[in-house]
Amino acid sequence: MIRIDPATCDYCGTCVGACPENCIEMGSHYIAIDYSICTECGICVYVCPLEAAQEEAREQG
Amino acid sequence: MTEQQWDVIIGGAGPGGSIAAEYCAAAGLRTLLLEKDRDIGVPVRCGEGVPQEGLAEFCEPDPNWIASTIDQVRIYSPDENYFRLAMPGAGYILHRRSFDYYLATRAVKAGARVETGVAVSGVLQEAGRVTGVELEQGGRQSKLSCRLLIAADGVESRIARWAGIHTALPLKDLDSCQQVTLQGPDFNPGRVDFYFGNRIAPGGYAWVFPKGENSANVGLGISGKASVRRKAQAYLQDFLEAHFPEASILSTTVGGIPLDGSLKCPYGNGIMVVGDAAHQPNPVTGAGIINAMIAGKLAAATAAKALEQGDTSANVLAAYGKAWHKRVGWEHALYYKVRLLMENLNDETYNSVTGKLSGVPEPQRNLRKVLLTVFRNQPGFVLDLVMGLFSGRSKEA
Repeated sequence: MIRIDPATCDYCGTCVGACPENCIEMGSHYIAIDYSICTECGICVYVCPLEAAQEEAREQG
Repeated sequence: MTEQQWDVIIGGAGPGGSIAAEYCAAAGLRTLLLEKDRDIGVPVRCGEGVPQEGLAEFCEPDPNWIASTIDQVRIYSPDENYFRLAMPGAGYILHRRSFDYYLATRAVKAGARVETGVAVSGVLQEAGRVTGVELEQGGRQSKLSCRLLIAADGVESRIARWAGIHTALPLKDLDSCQQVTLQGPDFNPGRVDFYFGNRIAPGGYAWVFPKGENSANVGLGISGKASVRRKAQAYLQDFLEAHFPEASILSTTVGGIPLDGSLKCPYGNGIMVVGDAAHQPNPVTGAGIINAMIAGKLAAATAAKALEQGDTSANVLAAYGKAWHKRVGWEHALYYKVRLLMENLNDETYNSVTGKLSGVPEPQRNLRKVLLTVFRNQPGFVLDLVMGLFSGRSKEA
C-alpha cells in the first residue's frame, strides 16, 4: 500500500500529474490517495522529489 | 460568489490563467478566475527565468518584479569546465510572487473577477459537454455553471482529466525538481549558470539563477526515470555541498515539469487547457512561464470567437489547439526529440564539447555553434535526430 506522509509532502502535485488513475486528491495542505482506485503502480513513489510517497509493506494475514 | 452565469471560468491563477482571464475579460466575456491557494503567486515552484522577447509581448519589465537582468550564460560540463555565451538582453529572473500578483491585478483591471482560496474540485458535464464546476472553499462545497472552462491548474491538473482529457504523464516525460533560494554568496547578477552531467542531474540539469547580487535560485531537475533510483533532493544536496557549502537556504521548493512538448489535444467540449496543465513547457529547458501566457492569450481569443458563435464544441475549440501548434507546439515537437537524444549523451561527450567550444572565439559562440559542435562530436546524434524526426512524422501521417 502506498502512503504519502503529510509531514514530508510539499504539496507540489508532481505525483498528481503522474498518477495514471487520477486517484491522488490534493489541496493546498492536504493530500490523499483514493485506495478504491489506486493500483499501486508506484509512479508517485518514483517521481516524488522528496521521499513523501512511500510504498508500505502490506500487513500479513 | 453570486450565482450568475459566467461566460468563462478559469481554474488556476498562474501566468497562464491570469493572462487568459485578462484577455477574456478584455473581449467582454464575464470571466471568473479561481485560485485554490489563499495567496496568488505563493508558493513559488519555479526557477523564475523568462526570455526578454517573450515577456515583451505582454508587458514592460517592472523593477517591482524583476530580480535580475541576464546578459550572460555559462554552461558547465561534468568536469567543471565551462563555456560562456554572451547574450545581451537575454532575459530576466523574476520575483514570481510579485509577478503573478501583477498579472492577476491586470486581469481584475480588465474586468475579470478573481477569487482565492477556492479550489475546483470537479467538473459538471451534460451530454459530454462541460457546463460548470464543483468548488470547494473552506470545506464548503458549491457549484457554478459556465459556458466555457479553461483549466490552468498546473502540473497537478485534474480539471482536464475530469473533463475526459488524458493528461497523465509517463515517468520518461516528467522531470522531478528541487530548488532552494540561497542567500549569502556573491553571485553575478547578470549571469545564469547551467550544469550538465549524469552525476549532477541525470536526464536534466542544475541551474543557478541570480536574484540580485547575494541571492540565487539554485535547483535541479532529473528525469522521472532517474528519480526511481535517487531523488532530486539527494542530488541537490550534493550540488549545494560542492558549490555553496556555506550559503543560507531561505526557501526550498519542489515540483514536476511536464516535458512531452504539449498535449496533442488541449481542448474538449466546453474546455481548453493551458500552461503546465497542457504540458506546454519547453521539453529541453523546462521553461514554461511565457508559453503558458501565450497559450492563455490564444485560448482567450478562441473563447471569444466560440462564445460569439454560441458553439463551444471541441470542433470549434480546436482552433486554439491549431493556433498553439502553429505558434509553439511544432517547435516543441522537435525539442522533444532533441531531449530524448540528449538523455543518451554521456559525461565524456559533454566534457569534450565544452572543451572544444572553449577554443571558439567568444563572439562566435551561439546556440547554433553549440549544436554544430555536438553534432560534429557525435555524428550518430545527427542521424538519430533525423531518424527521430522522420519516424515522428510518419507516425502522425
